[in-house]
Amino acid sequence: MNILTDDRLLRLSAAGEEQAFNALYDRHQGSVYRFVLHSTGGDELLAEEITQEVFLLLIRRPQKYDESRGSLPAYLLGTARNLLRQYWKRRRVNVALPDDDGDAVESSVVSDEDVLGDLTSEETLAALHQAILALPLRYREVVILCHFEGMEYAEAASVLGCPAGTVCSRLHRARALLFEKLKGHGTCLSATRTKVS
Amino acid sequence: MFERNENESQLSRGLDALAATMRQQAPAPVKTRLQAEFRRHASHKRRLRWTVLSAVAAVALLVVLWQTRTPRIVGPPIRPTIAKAITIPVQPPAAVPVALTRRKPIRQARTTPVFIALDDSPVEAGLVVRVKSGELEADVLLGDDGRAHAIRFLR
Repeated sequence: MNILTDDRLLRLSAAGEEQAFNALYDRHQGSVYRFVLHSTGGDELLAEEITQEVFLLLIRRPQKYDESRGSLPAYLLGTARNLLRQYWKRRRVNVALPDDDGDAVESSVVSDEDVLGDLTSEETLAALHQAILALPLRYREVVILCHFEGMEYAEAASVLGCPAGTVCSRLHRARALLFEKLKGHGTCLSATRTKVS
Repeated sequence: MFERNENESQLSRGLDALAATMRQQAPAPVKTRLQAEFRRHASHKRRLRWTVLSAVAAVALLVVLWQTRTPRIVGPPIRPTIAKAITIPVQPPAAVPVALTRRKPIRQARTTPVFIALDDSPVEAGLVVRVKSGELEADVLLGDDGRAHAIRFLR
């Protein structure tokens, strides 16, 4: 079952084959859950709820997925993103989506360490994670999709419903904002700081 | 430029390292709930499919029955029954029954029933069997070979 393609598994699942649905769920639940988890800044309860809703839709209305419009992971993540926005709209949560000038960048996670000097240690990875969570949503999304989930620009674009060029520019901006958040830690950042400001 | 590239590279390595630690999974109860919902939904779909199929089959059966129904048939088909079997001296049937050449053979058969030859083979002895099927009643002349050689319609 695990060697079958997503499209084949979905057809079997729609025909009532439970093992096919289980295989699909096992294959994609992690990325959906993590996408929502990071998009919400670590709200595990909401991530659980949205993940469940995404796969409930897959059970009840599998025909909504159109394979000609993108991959199944892109469809699932796009659905999760839409559900998340609907949830925020219902709850009237004010999600700050600052302009591309990056005004929302905070300096709370900046430490006195040379973060970029060793970005693989546990502490600095945590700092980097916090920096990502503090990014404006539109930039956080592309970092999650392209860096954490390993998606190509085109696939991420189908999740976000925007052109691939926009994904590329947002990712570039996101990285610049990460530099900005981690600035002041070592001389190696001086050149970058001038570029992103 | 070199420093900027170095920082980009370090950030990429940091993001890759962070991505490698991102292995969060949805809690197990989510899967359990989804499996229960999947079974419920699949069962509902099966019931719906059977209902539709049954309805279609019922309609098809009604159409077939309506098309094949005739005014005389009001119940299940009646199987032919042997009313009685008698042995009579057999006379050779007429070579060419008049009834076949008349314009109204049925009326003729009713008034003066005669045996109609079913083949040309001579019959010296045989058995006349009366058969009845619905409103049709006839005598069939069976030869020694067990084959029907002539028939006489009574009703």
